[in-house]
Amino acid sequence: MGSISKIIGSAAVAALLFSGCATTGGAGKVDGGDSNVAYGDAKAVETVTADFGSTDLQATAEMMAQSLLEVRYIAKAQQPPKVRLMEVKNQSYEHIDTRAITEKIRSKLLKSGSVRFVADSANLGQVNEARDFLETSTKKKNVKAMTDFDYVITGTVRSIKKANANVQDNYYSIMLQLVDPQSSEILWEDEKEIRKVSKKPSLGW
Amino acid sequence: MLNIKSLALSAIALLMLGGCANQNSQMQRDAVMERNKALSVDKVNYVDDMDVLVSDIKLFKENGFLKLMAEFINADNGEKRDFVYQVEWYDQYGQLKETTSWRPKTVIGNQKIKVVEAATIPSIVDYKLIISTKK
Repeated sequence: MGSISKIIGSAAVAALLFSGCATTGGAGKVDGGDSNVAYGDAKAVETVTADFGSTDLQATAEMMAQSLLEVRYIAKAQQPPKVRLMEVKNQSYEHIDTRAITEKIRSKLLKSGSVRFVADSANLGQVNEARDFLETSTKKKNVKAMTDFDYVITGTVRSIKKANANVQDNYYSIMLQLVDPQSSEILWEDEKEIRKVSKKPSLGW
Repeated sequence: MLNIKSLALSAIALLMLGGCANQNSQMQRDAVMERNKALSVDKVNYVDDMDVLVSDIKLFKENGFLKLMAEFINADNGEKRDFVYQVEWYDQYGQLKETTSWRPKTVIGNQKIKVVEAATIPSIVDYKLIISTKK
């Protein structure tokens, strides 16, 4: 009798201990104990440094997408034109993933339904593979290569940085263009200017 | 003598006019504040203080996309104010379809700034403007 009560007692203690482990952190959450990690608003204004950051990337892409949708070659087109993303040259002093800007614009424009996009060179290999597979599996020879497009989006990122003992001033100019590849005519161009100023601490370690 | 008299009169007139201008701008700010309180029920949300107010909102459709032009006024007399704003875009069913990133802006004392935002989804028919002035 005594051993049965001991077993039941141990089982109850074990169950309590295990349940304690399982409930730590609450429903749908794994608690990291003393971890300082927390989720934040992905769209919040980020001012950790004066370098090009997530706020600049988001604001640039949103403003450019809004501006592009007003271009008559897109807004008044009979059919949504096919566009291809080309390289946006980074002529600034820092590493900026310019593809992140253009891909964000593409995502916004695709949601608008006003523009169609041709796969860009980064994943064209996979697209070609898929096309080859389609050709061999269906025996269709008229699968068209995704190389025809009406316009291309290209551009440049430039920056001017100045600093003295107290202040650092970063200026960015992001220029994007919509170009007709047949005529090389620039059909649209817009610029996003960003100025970020950071004051250096007067006392530091 | 005449010059001193006219100068004094001019100074008094200027002072009076200056006083009127200040009173007018204060009255204008009070009116804007009242309007914002009414607006804040559904169209404009103030996350914290009402240091920056919305003095005008224009809504129009261009090429099938909803556009919003908002004018912000510094509710403070002379202090420069930094603030952030965000626009939420809703469809006809009241469904949140799109949210802009928080946009940082600065408006100096007694000044207004205008911003234009456009939805990039054609089904958008409504908006909500959120303003935060917390440092």
